Amino acid sequence: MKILEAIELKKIYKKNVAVKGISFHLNQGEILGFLGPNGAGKTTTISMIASLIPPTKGDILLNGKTILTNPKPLRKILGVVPQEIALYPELTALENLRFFGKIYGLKGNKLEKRVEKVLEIVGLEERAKEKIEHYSGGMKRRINIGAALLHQPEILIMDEPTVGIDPQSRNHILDTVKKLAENGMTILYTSHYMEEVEYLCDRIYIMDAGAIIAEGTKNELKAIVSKNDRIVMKIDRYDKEFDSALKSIPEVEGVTFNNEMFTIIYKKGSNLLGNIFRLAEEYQINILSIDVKTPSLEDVFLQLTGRGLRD
Amino acid sequence: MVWTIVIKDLKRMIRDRKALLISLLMPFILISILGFSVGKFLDQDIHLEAAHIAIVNHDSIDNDLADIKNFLDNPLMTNAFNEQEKQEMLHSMKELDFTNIFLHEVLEDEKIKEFISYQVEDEETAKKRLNNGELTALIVLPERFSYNTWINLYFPFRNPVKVEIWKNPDQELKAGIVESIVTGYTERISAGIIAKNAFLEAAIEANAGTKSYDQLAFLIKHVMEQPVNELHTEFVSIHGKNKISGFQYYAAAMAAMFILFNATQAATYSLDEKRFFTWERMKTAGIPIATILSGRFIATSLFTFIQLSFLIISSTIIFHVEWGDWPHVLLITAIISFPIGSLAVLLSIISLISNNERVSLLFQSLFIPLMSVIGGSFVPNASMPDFIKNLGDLTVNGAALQGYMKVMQGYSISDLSSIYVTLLLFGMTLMIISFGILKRREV
Ligand SMILES: Nc1ncnc2c1ncn2[C@@H]1O[C@H](COP(=O)(O)OP(=O)(O)OP(=O)(O)O)[C@@H](O)[C@H]1O
Ligand SMILES: [Mg+2]
Repeated sequence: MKILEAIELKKIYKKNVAVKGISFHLNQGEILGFLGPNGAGKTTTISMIASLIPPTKGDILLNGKTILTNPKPLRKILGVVPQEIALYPELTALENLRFFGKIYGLKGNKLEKRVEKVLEIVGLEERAKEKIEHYSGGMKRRINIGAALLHQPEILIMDEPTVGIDPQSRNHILDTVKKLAENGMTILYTSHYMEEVEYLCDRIYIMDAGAIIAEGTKNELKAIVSKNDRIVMKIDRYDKEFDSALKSIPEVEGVTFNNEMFTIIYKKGSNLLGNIFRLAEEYQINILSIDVKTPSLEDVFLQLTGRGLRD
Repeated sequence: MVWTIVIKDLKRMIRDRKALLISLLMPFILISILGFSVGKFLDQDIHLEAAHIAIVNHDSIDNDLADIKNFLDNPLMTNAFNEQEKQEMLHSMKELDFTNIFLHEVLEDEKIKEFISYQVEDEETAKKRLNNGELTALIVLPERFSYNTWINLYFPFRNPVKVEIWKNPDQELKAGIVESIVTGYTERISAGIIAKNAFLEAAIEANAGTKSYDQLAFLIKHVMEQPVNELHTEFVSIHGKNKISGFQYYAAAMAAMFILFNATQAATYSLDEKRFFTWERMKTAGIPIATILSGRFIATSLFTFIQLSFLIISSTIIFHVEWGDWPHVLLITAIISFPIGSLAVLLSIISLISNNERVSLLFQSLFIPLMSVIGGSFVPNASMPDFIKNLGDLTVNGAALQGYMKVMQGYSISDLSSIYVTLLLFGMTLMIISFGILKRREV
């Protein structure tokens, strides 16, 4: 059942088109993924849903009713985890949670109970009395999520909630998201980490440059690249002309270079290895290792855009 | 909801060590430094610290006496007065040595001596010292000063007498006091002359003729005894209002100045809400901007009130500064806090719209010092040109300082009504401007 729906949503900043008229929906109880690189328009889209900025065009419906004229019904049931740490650094975690709880209209006993519960969810009961500024990046992220959970929202929007943190905190957050969903919360999760979306999400929208370029379940999306194979290759030095030469091979669908590794998506069944070795020799590049793999979600993006998610 | 925001804002302010240092410790230190140094000077400037003046005396009592003798020996006079009358007249004239009276009675009067120290000098040196700024004023007693004055007082003649005063323009206030003392003196002499004329006219009308001269000496003496006493009161009245000590002055002045920093600090806190994205969280929850800014207004006003209370109480305990009637102190402190809250809202809005601290920093580095100077936070603005003084009294800090001083002096609430109106109008005007901007521009 569609709980939230965006229709032809568009945002233009002066000359810059941040979101190009996208349509998508959120089903009750699902974890929806928004996958896209920097500048794709994820945050802009979320800001429109949270009625922080007005859309240039289009509509947002909650249970079939627009929220643009009256955002109140959505505000009550919506929790937003901003991309940035939105907390007062000089206040303790407890004080921050109490403050934002009151902002959402919680009082007295109920407030205290919710704050306690949220601290338990994010696993920071023991350090609740420390100031946010003394927290590690991961702990800040966890309280940042907690502050959006105080009023027990039905819908939770999380804007890249794991950026720049240690693997341990990240795993904790991912597990938290899963648990929240199991308890019936509907979640919109944005990220540019393919693994996270792959691990968490039932359905996925892939965004790039303000547009949705693909949508579906994990498997549906992977089917896009099922006609393809992937080569991951380590080399001793990067050469721009070698890169261009790879891209100009007719069977190649996309090439990225990351961490001394080339990832090459190409049509299944074509014999690419011979071509690659020949080019390496021509450009005097030593191949240190080479692997043929089945495609991942990241490769979907690579194939669709010819670029990687994180260049 | 507003109170939730106010409490959060106050908490943040109280946790901000650097800001607390500026708002509480700095003014306290400055009160003690200025109170001990400049404040003492300020006290003396009015009661003890002397205005240095030079007297150039072109008059010579011996010559004047010789001249008046010649005048009385003139055949015309010989007919009018007999020898005994002449002797009596000379005797009373000798007592009325005007230069001597001016130097030794007027200028050495107990009260005046506190303010004026003088030196008798030759004209050239004195003028040089005046030009060098060593002197507050220079008084030139003309040749035949006593002689001409005697003629004016005892006879129906009118000889022009002109005492010149050269003032140091850099010490206008002090020089003005010196001038008022000198003119006070010369006016008393004129009063004597007028009294003499009136007396003589009355005597002639009553056909008492020259016999009346017997009483003239007494009359003149009587009139001439007045000036010193009356000058006294005049001098006292110039400074009678100034019961404020240096410590009192600077305690009020620093308090009035440092509250201005709360407004720029508040603008920084408002920008923080944007920088920390806490603003977004509140907006997501449906809290309107007006509520957030109202919180800022109340928090800044309250903080200002707390800060002023701290400075008032600590200066009372440590420096024994007397602030005046406590309920009145409380009232004026509350009223002063209001425009600071408004100023905080205006600076916040400007900072939020421009998305930087430039305007508030400009206010801090340019307007606060300017307002402090013209509002009299460093030197009493009474010594400034009227135009600047009036402008200074209209600034929040200037009005606050004037207000506190009046409360210290024991003025009543109704005496301070114009100051209260200034402060309240200032606060309301800023509020109207703020919400005007808010209606037109998106924050
Ligand atoms: N206030 C603004 N004014 C002008 N352009 C903006 C504004 N906010 C965002 N943009 C532009 O809109 C585009 C989309 O930005 P957005 O922040 O939505 O991307 P994103 O997908 O969230 O990226 P990231 O992964 O880096 O967070 C970018 O090109 C950005 O420069
Ligand atoms: Mg973003």
